[in-house]
Order: sequence, then structure tokens, then C-alpha cells
Amino acid sequence: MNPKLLRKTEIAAFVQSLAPSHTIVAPQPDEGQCSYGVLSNGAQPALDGGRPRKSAKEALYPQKERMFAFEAGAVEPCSVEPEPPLILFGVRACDLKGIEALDTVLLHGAFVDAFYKARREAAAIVGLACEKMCPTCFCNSFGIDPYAPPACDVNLVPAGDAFVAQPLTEKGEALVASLPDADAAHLATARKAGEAFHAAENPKVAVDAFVEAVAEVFESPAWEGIVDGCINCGGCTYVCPTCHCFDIVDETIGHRGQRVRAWDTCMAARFTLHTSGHNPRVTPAQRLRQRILHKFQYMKKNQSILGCTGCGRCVAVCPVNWDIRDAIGRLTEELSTASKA
Amino acid sequence: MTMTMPVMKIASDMNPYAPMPVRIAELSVESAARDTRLFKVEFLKEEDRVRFRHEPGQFAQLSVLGYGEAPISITSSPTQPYIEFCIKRMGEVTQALHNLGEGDAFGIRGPYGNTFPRAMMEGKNIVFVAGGIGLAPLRSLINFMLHPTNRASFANITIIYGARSPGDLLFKSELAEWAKRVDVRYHETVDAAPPDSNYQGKIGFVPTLLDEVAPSSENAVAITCGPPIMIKYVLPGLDKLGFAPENIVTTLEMRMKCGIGKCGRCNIGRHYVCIDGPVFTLAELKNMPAEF
Amino acid sequence: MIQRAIQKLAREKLEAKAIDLFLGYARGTLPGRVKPFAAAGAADCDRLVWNENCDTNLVNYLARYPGKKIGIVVKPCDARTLVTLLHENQVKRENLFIVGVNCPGVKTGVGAEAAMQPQCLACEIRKPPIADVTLGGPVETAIAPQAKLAGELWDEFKGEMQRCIRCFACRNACPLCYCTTCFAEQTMPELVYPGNDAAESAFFQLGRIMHIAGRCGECGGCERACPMDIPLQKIIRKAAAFLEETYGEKAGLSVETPGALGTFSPTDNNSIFL
Ligand SMILES: Cc1cc2nc3c(=O)[nH]c(=O)nc-3n(C[C@H](O)[C@H](O)[C@H](O)COP(=O)(O)OP(=O)(O)OC[C@H]3O[C@@H](n4cnc5c(N)ncnc54)[C@H](O)[C@@H]3O)c2cc1C
Ligand code: SF4
Ligand code: SF4
Ligand code: SF4
Ligand code: SF4
Ligand code: SF4
Ligand code: FES
Repeated sequence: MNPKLLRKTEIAAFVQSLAPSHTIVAPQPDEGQCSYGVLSNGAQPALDGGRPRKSAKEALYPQKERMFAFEAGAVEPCSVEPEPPLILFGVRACDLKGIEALDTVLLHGAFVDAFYKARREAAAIVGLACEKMCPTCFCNSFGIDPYAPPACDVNLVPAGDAFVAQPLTEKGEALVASLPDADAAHLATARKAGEAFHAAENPKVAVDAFVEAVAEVFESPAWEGIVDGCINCGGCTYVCPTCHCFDIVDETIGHRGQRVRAWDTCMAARFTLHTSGHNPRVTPAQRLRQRILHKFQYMKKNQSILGCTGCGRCVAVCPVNWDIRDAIGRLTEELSTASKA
Repeated sequence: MTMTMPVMKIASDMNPYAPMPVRIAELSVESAARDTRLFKVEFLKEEDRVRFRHEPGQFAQLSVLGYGEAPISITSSPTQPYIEFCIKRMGEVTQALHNLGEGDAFGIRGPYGNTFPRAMMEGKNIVFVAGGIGLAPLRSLINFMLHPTNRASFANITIIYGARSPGDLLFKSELAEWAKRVDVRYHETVDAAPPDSNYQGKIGFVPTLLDEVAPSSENAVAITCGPPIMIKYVLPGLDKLGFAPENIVTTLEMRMKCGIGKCGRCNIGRHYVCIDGPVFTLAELKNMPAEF
Repeated sequence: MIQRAIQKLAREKLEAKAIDLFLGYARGTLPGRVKPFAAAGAADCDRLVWNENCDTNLVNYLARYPGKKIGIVVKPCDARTLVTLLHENQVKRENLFIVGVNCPGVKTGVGAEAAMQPQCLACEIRKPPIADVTLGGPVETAIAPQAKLAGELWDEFKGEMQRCIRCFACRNACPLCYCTTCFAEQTMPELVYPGNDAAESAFFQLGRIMHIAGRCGECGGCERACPMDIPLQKIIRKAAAFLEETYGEKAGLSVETPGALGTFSPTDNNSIFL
């Protein structure tokens, strides 16, 4: 498929041309950083704003989703109206990998999450290669390369005054069909951008060794050792591209109401609290263990994928500098010395 | 920036979270404390009735719109022409269910979860050990086995059941029937009986009764469910009787929301109680983290 | 040097078995970040650091060690939250060895990029109101009165609540939010549903603010914890200013007299200070 050229001056117009028939989610400026959000008419995506604050999962798996409405004790019948299809525009590679991880949970298994599936199937995804890593990024440790990205329909690669738009699927090809072919000069600039990115990569974290070290572990004194200052605030799980746990609640006003699902966090004590008062996970160490093992052992075994893409957001938002990269290193060491002893 | 996505509508038959309406056909208070009730329900829609096929061991998500959902074992046997739930009042949803009367409607979705491993039980002696509301999930299997078409597939059936007090013994008329049957060895006990009760039976804890009855582990499977403290003493008791971990079956509880393996709440290690359970053998549990 | 003095005090007290643990800071994993660190023995004490990035309010960790004798480093704002906890019988004075530090303000980032944190820009209390030992020289406070945030905040607050994801990180970061069941998480009745709609976020945040008004030490912990960078301090200070005007008293300054408010109800009138 031919690489196309999207000039920076023409991004707004290009996005606008897609907008009437699509809902567009793209990074936008947000209090000194950027966040993915639904693009309002004529707005310019912030493609140079660095890593968005939260992951892109929200577009496919909103923080709060209505499952159905009810009135006076009966579920309201609903007719299914087709939604305008979605375009996720400018998604970072770590978030693309995150979508792959969500797919394995929400689209597969004995049951399918119809909400996620409907959004997912209607979505076209345009990736965006990063010019450089943020200090907390470590996607490279997971073999993720923004210049050879996880599944998406088009990948945008920076090329000076433009982006080279590489279609990767037929859907993607159709999306960028109106753009001119990329010229040799821009292709060369794009290649250089890739080289520059790779030359300045952050040091890698030894993820494989860690996955091996935690493969069969549960009980270990090592967990107490890594709790450090974690206050179980859960901020890390809300910004994470792969965290997918949710709560289900009924919201009512008078006789009307809706059942919604909303993101939840395994860092909260109430997450596993039985009505009887019994709680299988009472200590911060137990909850941290759940968060780590879910990502690096349970998902690996159940879904054959890791629940971490190295996006580094949890490191950036943690109020007490609990750093998963550091925890991976320390745990690998402690668990492998423990198993040798 | 908070992202507000357009509301997605999914038709009920495609929506795994949409409940099917049922009506309470019959309601009975099961415990003297009035905190446990038996709900016999029928589907409001014929297609739901046809679609809903359960096996002993499975559960359903019961919902009262405006209050939420709670996972409840299906206590009736598939050999019976109706569906029953035995529900103890605990919190918001179970209270809301208790506020309903005969003829009222609520919602259910399911059946969910795995089933009691019946194939491995065929031709064997069966020992049930239950405490309190723990009899609810076992009752489905007991009545399945006692059904004339199935009874011959199983050898001796022993039931050991206990509750806190005589008033807490559930399914009383059924207990009396089991006690009368010649092909069932039924034993019952209560922790304590108030002086004014006319209870004539045994006083003592379930694990003690198990020791006394001492069912043989020869060609036998034990199925147990009850409060954690009971299970804690029943398991060593069964071990002492020679039951191998593969032949001890139990059913677990974890806080649940989705019931379909998505919400990430009910896991014990890599196993999700809502889809990989709630039924596990002790051999399986021994390979799982003790986090439940 | 303050860092040296902290290390020395911690080592002495741990060696003498006068304390079981010393709560301080250690080097972080990112430039301009430190980590909370509990030194359990004399050998750990070399890892204790003190610098202008030492922002976390360590008082938040005291509840983790019931019955233990604990040494702790506090800035003036942290000490104010400690005073409130002492009033509320959440900690025992005799179990604490308090190392106070006179505070010129804490910063985010290092070198040229270092920026004074918002709560410090408006901070009037530069000396810990409670301490066994106080380190560092006296600090001049020169807060322009206009920095004492006033004016119409309601619209701004409502706007900010559009961004809140109701993760409750602010609450978890606050040493004064110690309710075993938070009003935002109770289910019977359910006052705050999970999710991210602005109206409920505002309800939660107002409820929390009403609950800490008159108790808050203005440590900025909540705002630092917020993954959405919502300027919570602004609104909390507005509430504090209101109470100060009404009751003529700042929270957490006097070990002898308890603060202005101690009670909270979700039905309280929230409009008073907005
Ligand atoms: C597989 C399974 C089978 C069960 N079978 C029965 C039964 O036959 N009879 C019976 O009386 N009880 C049964 N329970 C327990 C019952 O689900 C809880 O008592 C009930 O969920 C409490 O909900 P509530 O809304 O009244 O309490 P609240 O505290 O108001 O609700 C909290 C919510 O948390 C979840 N929750 C809280 N405690 C539990 C728990 N122990 N297990 C699962 N989810 C929980 C539910 O989603 C519940 O709606 C079973 C639980 C499981 C997991
Ligand atoms: S690791 Fe950090 S962000 Fe995550 S719960 Fe703990 S303190 Fe909060
Ligand atoms: S665990 Fe942290 S680094 Fe890994 S994907 Fe989630 S937020 Fe990113
Ligand atoms: S983690 Fe990788 S893909 Fe994600 S923002 Fe950083 S460099 Fe880009
Ligand atoms: S409300 Fe915020 S500033 Fe006040 S004591 Fe709590 S964390 Fe500190
Ligand atoms: S930390 Fe921020 S986003 Fe989270 S609940 Fe508090 S104000 Fe809202
Ligand atoms: S209840 Fe949701 S995963 Fe089991």
C-alpha cells in the first residue's frame, strides 16, 4: 500500500473532511499536557503534545457506559441505531498495544462484551509514531516499536513539515485515499525520524526475565518489600491502557434509571469486599500483588498477552513515585534469589 | 479532559448484561429469623424459559432494577419444572429481593459458571456435607441425583447438614422427606437449640457430626459447602476419612459483578470464579493461591 | 545540613531502640522526585534524603503502623495535619518522635525547571506547630494578600469537575481522610455512583472539602495525587479562608485547642463559601 503525505498545515482540513460521517477522537491540549478527546468541529488535533495523559482505551471502553435504561421496574426496549463510526486519530503505539490487550479480554472467551465489540468494529485507528520517548516511557522493553506499530489501520510517521501516512489495512487505505502519495524527500525524513527515535531510546527494563520470575509465584515475602509508599490511590489503573476492571451500578432518579458499568480499580479495598465483611485482599501488598500478577502472570496465561505495554503513565501519575520499572527489577532479583535459595 | 462518548444501544438479545424478566410464582420464608427466603420463579417470556438450561452447580445474576445485581445459586434441580433461588438477606440487592412479594417481577441473567463434575460421580457413593445456606447450591445436585431417572447412576447417598439453630435449618419439608427415604442416609445437627424449642435432634457442629457418621471414602465423592469456618474443619475431617483431594468438591464465593469473566473482580489467581468456578475440587484448590 | 541532621537523629533513635521505624524520604526514580521511605534500622539511615522535592506528607502513613513507635519528618503543613490527627485521637503523641523542618516551600522538578508547588505559594505557616526537634533556619513569609485566593470560584470549580475521573486518589493521599467507609463509597444509600460525570464529581469533592474544612493542613497532597492535575488547593483554601474569617482560626496550629469543625453531613449546605 502506498504511503501518503499529510502536511501539517492540512491536518485540520483532512480531519474535517472525515468528520461529517465519523466521530473523531484525537489528542487535544489539556492543562499543559494533552488528552485524547472527541474532536469538536474545526479543532486541530494536538499531534505534538507528547504522550496523552490517559490511554486511548476510553474511546472504545468509556469510563462509564450505559448498559440499558429502565423505567418503573422494567427494562426499556431499545432499538439499535447505528452510531457514526469512530476514528481514533493519533494513537500512540503503547495504546495500540493496549487495545490489543483489551480485545483479548472483551472480545474473546465464553462471552463477548457487545458494547466494546460494537465500538471496536466500527472504529478505524490511526497510529502516531512518537518523535521521542518521555522520561517514563519504556514500550521498547516490550518490543513495541512506534515505527513498526501494533495493529492499526494507518500509521502516521513524523516527517518534518508533514506526516507520512502509511496505510496498513484496506480500511486504512480507504481512509487516506484522498491524500497525495508521499514523495521521496519526505519518506527520507520519516526514515530519519525513526532512526533518531531508536538512537535515543530509554534503557530497557528486563521484562522477559521478570515474566519468567513471576510465572508461578504467589506467596512471597517480596511483595511486602515492594509496597513502599503506595497509598492504593488507584490513579495508576485509571490511566493505564490495559486495565479493564469495572463495577456495575444502578443509577436512579425516581422511577427512571439506568444500569451502568464504570471503571473500577483493584487497588481499592472495596473491590473484593463481601457483604459479610470478609475480604480476601485486605493489605496494600495483596492488592499490589493482584495488580502486578494480573498483568504479568494471569493475563499471560489466560490471554497470552501481557497487561502492560510500558506506556509509563502509572509512573508519571503516581503521587509517591511508585515506579513499576523499579518494582520489576527488584522483584526479578528477589524472586529469583528466593527460588535459588 | 473527560471523554464523553455517544450512548451505545445494544438490543437485549445481544446484550450480555440485560436481565430476563421473571415473576415470583411462590415465596416461602425458610428461616425462623425470616432472613432467608425461597423464591420459585417463572419466566415472563417463553423464549427465555426455553433458552435457560442450567446444570447443578451453576448460578444466576439476580437483579432488582434500581438496586443492582447479586449472584445467587440456582437451588432447584434441572429435573424440576421451575427455577428456585434461596436467598439470605445481606445487603442492598438481597434486601430489595426480600421486599418483593408473590407475583412481583425481577430480572435474572445466566445460567453462569461451571457445574458439579457429575461424570466423575457416577457409580460412586456420594457424601454431602453442608452448613447453613451452603445447602442451597448442593440441593440442586441432591434433587437431581434423587430423581427417579438418575438415582440408579449413583450408589449410597449420605447427607450431613447443620445450621446454627433449629430455626435456621432450610428446606424443612424436603429435609423430612430425605430423612424418610430408605435410599438416603440423612444426618442433621444444630450448633445450639433454645430451651423453648421442641427440637429433638443432635446438638453439635457439622465437623463433629462428620466424624461421628464417618462415611467411608471407599469409591466415594464428598461435596461440601458452608461458611468458611465450617469448611476449615470439614476438609481435615474428610482427609482423615481417606477422601483424596480429587474426590472432594466444593463451591466458592467471591465478590462478583459481571458474572461472565470480564469485570476482573472474582479471580483467585488466574482462575475466575464466575466462569472457571464456582465449583472446584480440593485438588484444584490446592493448586490455586489461598486468596479467597 | 538538614539531610545530615535527619540521618543522624534517625540513626540515634533507631540504635537506642527509642523508635521502631523512621519515616523519611529516599531518592526517587525520576529527576525531581523522592519516595517515601521507612528506615527500619540504623543501616537504612544513609538512604534518607532531604531536598526541595520532599513533598509527600508522611503523616498519611502513620495509620499503617498501629502501636509502633515512629520517628517522622514533617514540614509545617504536614505537622498541621498531625496536630489535627492528635486532636482526633488518631495517633498517640507518646508514640511519635517528630522531626520538624522549617520550610521555604517544596518544588516540582529540578534545576531551571523547578517550580514552587501551588500550596507553598500561598503558605503562611513556615514553622512546624509541633515537633520534638526543629531543623533549618527561620523562614520569612511574604505572602501578598491577593495570593489568598478569593473571588468567584464556582464556575471554575464546575469546569474542573468536568475533568475529574473520580479515582479518589485525592482522598487516599490525604492523611485526614481516614474514614473506614468513605461517604463516596458506601452503598446503602449510594451517595456517589462510580463514573465520571461532573455533577457527581462536584458532589463528591464538595463533600470531601466540607469534611476537611477546618482540619486541612494545606499540604497539597490531594492536588499532587490528582492524575488530572485539578487545582484542588484553590477551592480548599477558599473554604479555609471562609472558616478563618468566621471562626478566626486556622486549622492544625494549636496542639491545645481543637479545630473549628469536626463534623460532616452530606446534606450540609455547600454553598457558603462558593
Ligand atoms: C456463586 C455464588 C453463589 C451464591 N449463592 C447464594 C445463594 O444461593 N444464596 C444467598 O443468599 N447468597 C448467595 N451468594 C452470596 C450473595 O451473592 C451475596 O450475599 C450478595 O451478593 C450480597 O449482595 P447485596 O447486594 O445484598 O449486598 P451489598 O453489600 O449491598 O452489595 C454489594 C454487591 O457486591 C457483590 N457482593 C457482595 N458480597 C458478595 C458475595 N459474598 N458474593 C458475591 N458477590 C458479592 C454483589 O455484586 C453485590 O450486589 C452467592 C455468591 C456467589 C459468588
Ligand atoms: S502505585 Fe502509586 S498511583 Fe498506583 S495506587 Fe499506589 S500510590 Fe496510587
Ligand atoms: S502498568 Fe503502567 S506502564 Fe504498564 S501499561 Fe499500565 S500504565 Fe502503562
Ligand atoms: S511508551 Fe512508547 S509509544 Fe507510548 S508514548 Fe512513550 S514512546 Fe510513545
Ligand atoms: S485536604 Fe489536601 S491539602 Fe488538606 S490535608 Fe488533605 S491532602 Fe493536605
Ligand atoms: S484525584 Fe483528581 S481526578 Fe481523582 S477524584 Fe480527586 S479530583 Fe477527581
Ligand atoms: S464476576 Fe466479573 S469477572 Fe467474575
